Amino acid sequence: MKPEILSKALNMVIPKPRFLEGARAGGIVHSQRDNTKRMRTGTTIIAFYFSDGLIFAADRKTSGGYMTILSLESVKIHEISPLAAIGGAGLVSDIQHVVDMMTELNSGFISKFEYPLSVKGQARYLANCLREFRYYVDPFGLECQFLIGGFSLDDEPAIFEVYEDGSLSQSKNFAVIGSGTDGALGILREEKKRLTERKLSLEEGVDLAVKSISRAGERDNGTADIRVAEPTIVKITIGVGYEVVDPAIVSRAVKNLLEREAPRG
Amino acid sequence: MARTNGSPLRDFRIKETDTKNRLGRVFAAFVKVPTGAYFITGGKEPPFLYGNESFKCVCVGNDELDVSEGEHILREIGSAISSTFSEEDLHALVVANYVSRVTQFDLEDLHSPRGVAAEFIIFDVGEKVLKVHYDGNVETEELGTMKEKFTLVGAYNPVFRRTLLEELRKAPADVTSDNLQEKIKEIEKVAFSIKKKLKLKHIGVLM
Repeated sequence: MKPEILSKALNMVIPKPRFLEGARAGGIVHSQRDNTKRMRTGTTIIAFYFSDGLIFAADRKTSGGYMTILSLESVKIHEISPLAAIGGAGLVSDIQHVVDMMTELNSGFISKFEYPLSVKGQARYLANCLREFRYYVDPFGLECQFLIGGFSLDDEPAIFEVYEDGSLSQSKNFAVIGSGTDGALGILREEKKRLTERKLSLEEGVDLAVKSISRAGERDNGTADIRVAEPTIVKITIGVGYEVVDPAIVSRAVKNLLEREAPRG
Repeated sequence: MARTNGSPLRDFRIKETDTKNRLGRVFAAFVKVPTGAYFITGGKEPPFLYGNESFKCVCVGNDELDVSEGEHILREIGSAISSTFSEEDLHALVVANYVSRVTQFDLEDLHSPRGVAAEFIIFDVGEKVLKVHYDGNVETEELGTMKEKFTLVGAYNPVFRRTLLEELRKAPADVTSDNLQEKIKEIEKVAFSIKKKLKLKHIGVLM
């Protein structure tokens, strides 16, 4: 049997990103971005396990370089399938492209094969794409990093970190990406034991998410302060799937945190 | 098969008929039981079994080359899905879709005179059974609505098929974990009877 037949059939079964096909056809694209002045990411996105599934949280600031705030109402966590979400930090256009690509991939797979793609499958597909982009978009490929999380058919939740170089790692308790990583990590590490045991209730999870984003916002220029823009919090559970946490609950958690941390006297 | 100087359609028909004829005395039967299913296979060569937790696939072929072509097709999609997505994403429909396209493309490739004389039964555990024929056609049967207790691929020789169907009707379909030992003997009996009556070189039962 000719190898071309196998690869032709494979191309019809496994979807390829359209942009990547275009990039391949056009050869290497030399990026016009000034890499010495660029800000790699300007956001904070966290994800961790709670008793019923996963919580994703992100600040809402979109900045243009170091000095300009473009928006304080951005939503950085996106639903890519009924049971999976993606959060992206980095260049907005690249993130939007990847979110569209992943949404299309998931809906195509479900409609074709009647099964949803596993979260691991989605993360590996994205990592493969980002790695390939490096060869066609010089010098660093797409400027973005992602957290992908959700449920697979085995009912086990999973969180994966995917970086622009195509690296992929699974997180057993929590994960953070973006420029505010250091601040948020400090808070999440304090709760590492409970996060690993996956015993947090939704309320405790929301409080922890707000506190982590708050710390990141205090220390990082690219992350919105929670006093200016309340974070977006999303939960993914096996029963309901992707669901944005009621902003009233988030507001209450923000208020409680600010009251607790207000200077006394 | 010699390639004619006639029309491509004529060449295609000759190739198709030749491939079908080579599958005349080869078969794989899927027998539904309350706890799942078992397969009975027969022909010149042992079948190739492939699968994971969500599906089981049996590939039968006319000769060793055909079975190994089938094996190659199945391993190709397995490794492609594992490296692109993950092992969990290799489902029955993915395999059926790929195998169907490959067999169809191969049959339509008139530069190669020899078609892949292999057929596939894919059991989507607990849900349905998919049969991929040598020409790429896919037949799907839901377990709940199957007319007979069994379904089969191959056996295109009418005389062979008639005798085989008579024998397969004797195969037990009430196998449970309680009566397994006793029923295995019955299945073996049916299998040996098929082998003897149809003068097959190989007969196999896959549980």
